[in-house]
Amino acid sequence: MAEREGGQAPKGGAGPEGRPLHVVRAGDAYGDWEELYADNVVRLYRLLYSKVGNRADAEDLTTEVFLAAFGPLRLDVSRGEVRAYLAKTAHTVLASFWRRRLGREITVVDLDAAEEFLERPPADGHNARRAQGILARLPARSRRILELRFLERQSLRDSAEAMGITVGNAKVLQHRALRMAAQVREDES
Amino acid sequence: MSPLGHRRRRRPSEAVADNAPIPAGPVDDEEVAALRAAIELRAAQPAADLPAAEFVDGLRRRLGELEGEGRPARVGRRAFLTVAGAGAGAVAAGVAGAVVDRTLLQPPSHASQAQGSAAQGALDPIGGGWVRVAGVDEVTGRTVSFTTPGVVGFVTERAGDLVAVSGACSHQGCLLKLNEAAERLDCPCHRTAFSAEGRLLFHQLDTAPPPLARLQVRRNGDAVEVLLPQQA
Repeated sequence: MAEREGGQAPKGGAGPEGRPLHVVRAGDAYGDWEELYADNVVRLYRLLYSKVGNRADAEDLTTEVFLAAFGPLRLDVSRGEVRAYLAKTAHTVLASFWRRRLGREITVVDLDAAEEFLERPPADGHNARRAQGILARLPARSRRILELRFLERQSLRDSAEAMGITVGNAKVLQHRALRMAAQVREDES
Repeated sequence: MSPLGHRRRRRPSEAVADNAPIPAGPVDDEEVAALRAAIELRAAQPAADLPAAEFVDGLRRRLGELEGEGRPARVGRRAFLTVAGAGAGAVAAGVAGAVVDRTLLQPPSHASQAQGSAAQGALDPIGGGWVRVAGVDEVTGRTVSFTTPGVVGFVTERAGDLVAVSGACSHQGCLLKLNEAAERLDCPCHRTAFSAEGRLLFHQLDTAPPPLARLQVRRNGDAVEVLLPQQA
């Protein structure tokens, strides 16, 4: 994961609105890079995890964003500007990730929503409630397999055992259930 | 569906169901929709989206090395503490802060249990007794939880050193959960996690909670024992 995606990310010379970022040190600027890192790493990871749904890719993307931001990002800007910069870098890095990996854009980092997320990450229950809403509209067995696999984090084998079906059947059931969940999502939007 | 047993590329949505990296390759519209649903569901599991401690530490080190190669800003001790989540609050706590510092700056195998437990507000019972909480071979290189009538905790052995910590979060006392995959102790109440040695890894509270209380621990033959209050 050595690729650097800096192409569309704003450079250190100017902020999102073209203002110079380094003339005056912002009042709430980070004291140093580590402080900036500590304040943002967990939130950035969570944001990217919500876009790729797995640990390894979320780790790679978080790394990529910080490495890309490391050179151009200035420390004398406000925290809001740092968040805006990280959000924009995350947007670019994620778009490039999907292009490379699947040739299709599956999820997008929305800049405003991402800045908001980095400033005030949503509470624990937010995603869970939305997921429950989707699952509630599925037939019982489809709902159950997705609950086992996604919410209870059971392996396919354990899920199959819990439902009294074969692993092969569990796999088919899971695939169909995901397609139904996708349909529910589409209907809702 | 391909016939069972026939090797084919795993669907990206199946990979996400396993929390595995998304395999490269083309996808059709149906799979795109299924993958989006899978990603959304995966992110819905409470605390599934918290990063592993070793990842956060590793990337911090990597950036620190880059910084050493030419970035002007210096890596300060204060920042070092902040990264671990043990910020000003813990440092201001005086002695406790000093112990956090030492624990952070030394690898776990050097973080002396005796020093740590004495200064860190350890549970140091007067007239207590040593209680077996695990077998030596159970804790070798890993962390296990234990429960006694008085204390819930975790004990870990790393490179020959034993460390035992209280299993109650230092924030509000919620019982911590052992997250073996990420090698850390997660608080189910708030987004807070500790290392097996009790060091605060991250939090999103207004004030950093102190490290976990240490318990005195020793090896006695093939048993791991913790010093606990005498039971009535």
